Amino acid sequence: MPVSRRLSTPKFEARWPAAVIWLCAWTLLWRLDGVLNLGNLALLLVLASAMAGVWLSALVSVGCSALSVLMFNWFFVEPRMTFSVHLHQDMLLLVTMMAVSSVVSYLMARLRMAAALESQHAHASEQLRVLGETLRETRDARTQGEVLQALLIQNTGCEVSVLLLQDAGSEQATTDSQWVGEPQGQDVQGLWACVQQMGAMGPGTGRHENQSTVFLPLRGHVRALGAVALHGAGLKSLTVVQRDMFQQACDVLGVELERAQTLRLAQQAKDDAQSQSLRNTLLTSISHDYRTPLANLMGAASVIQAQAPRLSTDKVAGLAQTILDEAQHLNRMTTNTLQLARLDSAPLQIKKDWESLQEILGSVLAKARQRHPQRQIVVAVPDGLPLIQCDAILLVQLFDNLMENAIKYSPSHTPIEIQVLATARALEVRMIDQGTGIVDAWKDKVFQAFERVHADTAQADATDDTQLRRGMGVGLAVCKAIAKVHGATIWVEDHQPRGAVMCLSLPVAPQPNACVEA
Amino acid sequence: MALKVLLVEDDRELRQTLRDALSVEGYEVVASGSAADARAVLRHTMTSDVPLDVLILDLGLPDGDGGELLRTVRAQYALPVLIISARHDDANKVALLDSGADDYLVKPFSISELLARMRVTLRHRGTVVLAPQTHYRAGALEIDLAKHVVRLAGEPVHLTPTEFKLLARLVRQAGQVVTHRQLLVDVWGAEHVDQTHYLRLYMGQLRAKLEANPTEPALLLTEPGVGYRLAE
Repeated sequence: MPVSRRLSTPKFEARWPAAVIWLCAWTLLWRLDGVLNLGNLALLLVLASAMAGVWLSALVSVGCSALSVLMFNWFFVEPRMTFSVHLHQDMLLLVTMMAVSSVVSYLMARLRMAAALESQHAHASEQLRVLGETLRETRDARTQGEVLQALLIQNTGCEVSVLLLQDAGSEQATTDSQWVGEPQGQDVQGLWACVQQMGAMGPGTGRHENQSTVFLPLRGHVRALGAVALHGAGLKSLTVVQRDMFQQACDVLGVELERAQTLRLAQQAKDDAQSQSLRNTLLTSISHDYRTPLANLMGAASVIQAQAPRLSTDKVAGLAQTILDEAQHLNRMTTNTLQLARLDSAPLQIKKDWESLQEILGSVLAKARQRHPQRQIVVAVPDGLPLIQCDAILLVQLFDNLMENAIKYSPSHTPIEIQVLATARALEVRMIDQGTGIVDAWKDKVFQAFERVHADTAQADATDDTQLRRGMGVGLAVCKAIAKVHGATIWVEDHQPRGAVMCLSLPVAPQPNACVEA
Repeated sequence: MALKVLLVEDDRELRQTLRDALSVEGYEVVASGSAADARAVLRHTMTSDVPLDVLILDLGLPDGDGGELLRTVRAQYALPVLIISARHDDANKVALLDSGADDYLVKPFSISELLARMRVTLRHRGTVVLAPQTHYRAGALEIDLAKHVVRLAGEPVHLTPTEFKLLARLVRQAGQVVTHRQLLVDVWGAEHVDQTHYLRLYMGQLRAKLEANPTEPALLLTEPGVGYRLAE
């Protein structure tokens, strides 16, 4: 145990200089006996005592000094070979020597103790620093608990168990608590009590001194985020400094857990704000984008209802077509809006399967040709494309939205072109129209919900051309959301000489095994 | 004699619209707004002289799930069932098809779509008890399952055994959607029910052999997320 070793007295190996000093001193004393007078000899002894004190503990040092004084008295002070002293001349000398020797030894011991304490503190703070860094690098609370456990075991040799709370404030809920190590039944209660009281318990802490386990809380700034139980034989010899150090180590973890918790709460708040913003988006959608087709629906239907007998059959058929178109438009917008909400709330709950891009594009084309039989759509899909892992329904919806956009935002006499480029790691689908294209400033914005390139014109002049062009606000946002859950990227490029290219790059996973018959 | 349809739909407006439209088309329509009522109608009519010819079933009924009613019907009568549902939940749709629905339509749908699906369903009426369809002809394609012959524009087409089994399975229910699960179980066996990539690969091969443009198939149609349908 490195910390406590520094507190004990120096070992024999470290004491040999003291022995040498005393030996030299006594040799000198014998040699100089008769050359110098008694007072000078005594000073030599004081010097030796002071120097040897550097290497000896206070007690040994004082003991040695006392012995030296006695021996000095015996061998050098008249009458020699007796302990009797000429009171007036030599007593004062001996007492002074004794006192100086003791004081020097005591001071040396104090100094050594201070140095030991200092180095112990330095060691402790180094350990705490390393602990802090390790904890910061470790994200998982359980692993963090294990790091602290390992540190405490290394320093005490005790059995260590750690209780970690996921959400402070709900101390009673055992469901979100984690255990590191295996505390005994009584210790479990102790750990919970320690968390609730946010104070240390057990021998040496001033509370529940008679227990055999030391409990230390993992203190955050506001409350305890767990506790540690130290259980074992080494507890009795724990010093105050050590316990302080352990408590600090626990607090490092406590603060770290609190920090993680704060981050979680912040993330949660952010998510809440995001879903709030999505709700607002949906409300905007319903209040604006849905009103226009609804107005057209009501208009056409009410005309038929009120004036049918006076209208020509063609006129009625035209109105019915309007109703049908607007209803389809509403249906599409609803599907997109719901899909956006669904993908936003649970992006991971999609069902991926091995799908053929050719089939998916085929389904999209079949729908598009049905809706726009006059429109020229040119498709080039190479043979032998790899299969992709995706949710076919979502990808159909994605391409369907792109197709609808391409058809809406380009003159009806121009063709729509679909190209598929296969590379080793990805399939890139490019849908090319010859419309007005999308200016650079809007190339990212078009994928945000309810941004429309022609928003201004659509509001100012909701007739004819722009009439056709409204209401894809949510369409591209859904495309982006769908691309995201598939790990795909979607972007816009310019088409020369005019028009836009909507590009989707789908990752290709290693293909499944299948033996195909010839 | 007019074909008899039981229409189970809880929305009064839609029920009325569909009822009128089907009547115009010459069907005799019995409309019902709840599962209990529908059960009563079924008990009453299926044992009478003029049993029902087709059941059009809405899934979300006020007094019970339409899926329950479907299972009852499947267990007791040989009555074709066409599901109409506002649910976009595909897993549910597939489960219904697997448990015996003949076809499905997702609301909103147009009346012409409904009529087309009804025609297909009626043509297959009784497939459970009668001999399944063994002969298929559409455009230049001619398939005779009994003779094991597939001809395109009069020329025989060579198909591998698996390709033929897959095609045959679709022919038996031509016009109707056959789910991935049904195809995998019937062609490859129950242990391969999760190997959808087999289907993709073999369907791709079949299209390459039989379709003029495999990307835009005219016969072997894809129902994304559900299954395949052989056009009629």
